Amino acid sequence: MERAIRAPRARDVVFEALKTAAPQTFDDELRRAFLAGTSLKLAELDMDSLAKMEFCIAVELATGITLLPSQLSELASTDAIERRLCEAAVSLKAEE
Amino acid sequence: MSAGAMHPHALFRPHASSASQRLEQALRLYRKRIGRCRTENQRNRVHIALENYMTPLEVRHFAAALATDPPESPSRNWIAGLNALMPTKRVRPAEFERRGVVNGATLYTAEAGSPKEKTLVLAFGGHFHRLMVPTPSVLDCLDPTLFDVILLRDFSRTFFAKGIFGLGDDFFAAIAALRRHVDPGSYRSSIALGSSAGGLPAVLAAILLRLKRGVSVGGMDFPYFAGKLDGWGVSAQPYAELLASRPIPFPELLLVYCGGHEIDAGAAVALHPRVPSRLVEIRNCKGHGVFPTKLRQGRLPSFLSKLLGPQPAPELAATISHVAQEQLG
Repeated sequence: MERAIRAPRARDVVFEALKTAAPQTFDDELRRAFLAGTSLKLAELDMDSLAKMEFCIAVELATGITLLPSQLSELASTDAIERRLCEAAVSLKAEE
Repeated sequence: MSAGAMHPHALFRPHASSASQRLEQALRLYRKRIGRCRTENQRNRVHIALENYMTPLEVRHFAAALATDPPESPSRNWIAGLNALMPTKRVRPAEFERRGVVNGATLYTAEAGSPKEKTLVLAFGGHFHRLMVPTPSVLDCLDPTLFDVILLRDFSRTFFAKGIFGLGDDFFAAIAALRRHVDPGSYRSSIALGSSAGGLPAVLAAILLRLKRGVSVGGMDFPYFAGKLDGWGVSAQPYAELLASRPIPFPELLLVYCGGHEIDAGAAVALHPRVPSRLVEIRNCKGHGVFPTKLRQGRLPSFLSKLLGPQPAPELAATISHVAQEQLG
């Protein structure tokens, strides 16, 4: 069962997942920018395949929503990921 | 996601008596565990954990057994991919076996050779609890009659400042406790090797334990380390004092980094004057991952041989300056 997720929470989830998956490239400067509302391009985070897996695992653990590593290149930015998480939560709520 | 929430020690705990029984038991438990997974992320979680713990022998056993699964089987595809990352695929008369010292430390050793003939490698894993490549890929490069490896894992993700789970609550206590499990002095040689977040801890451990050599690969500089410790409420003072100490014998320290990676190059060059050490720039490498680059290039065995050999290869022995930089092939 996926949990209801709102935009601010989606941002928190992505923030924590990036801290786990990209500890080096998601540095203090990018963290501050992200918290200030900037959307980050995933390409600039230089995540390898392991980092992408860890990111998706962290998101699923936090929300129950399955986001796959293969979908990340299509989503491309943190804003797009947050939208995807919110949409997934809404559609699931509608199905309940 | 409880299906993925398991500790690999549980999967590999050696209840079975013989090596073949243990391999079969591990495979059975793997199949049971993976059978509970409902999503790709759950399977990935199990597989990542296993890649951090397995031995080359286990990889070969799993690969042979899972090769008969359907072609679309995630397990078959996973182990085929992992097996492809074994640099030598060499079957050896004596193979590494895993012995859990504690949760945060795993000993890989073989029933062959004595410590007097072997080099002990204290491997400080990075953020993902390995040397940036699957653990069996590293072990596959090493002759088990010549090396014992203890892989140390930083589960608190605090550069080992909050210790090693099962050994101690801070770096110094953990290293002292480790000495009660294994005596580096009983070995022919002892080397600390760390990558990324484990790089500087490996340098510090080499000084603390007066090992023959300490190797940081893609490690950080001290001020960054100290700043993070401060944020976690840990005093950097004892680490600063250790780094400034010059015990005799003093280890040979190597600071290895990708030349094309600005952050790592800057960190290594900045750490170099703080402690007697040698800079080793890896060319034809742009990212943070020196080991993954060497693995892709098919050069991981020779690279590890140079880092861990009885005498540093001439190209490693050269102190690299901005004027004359050695290339490490």
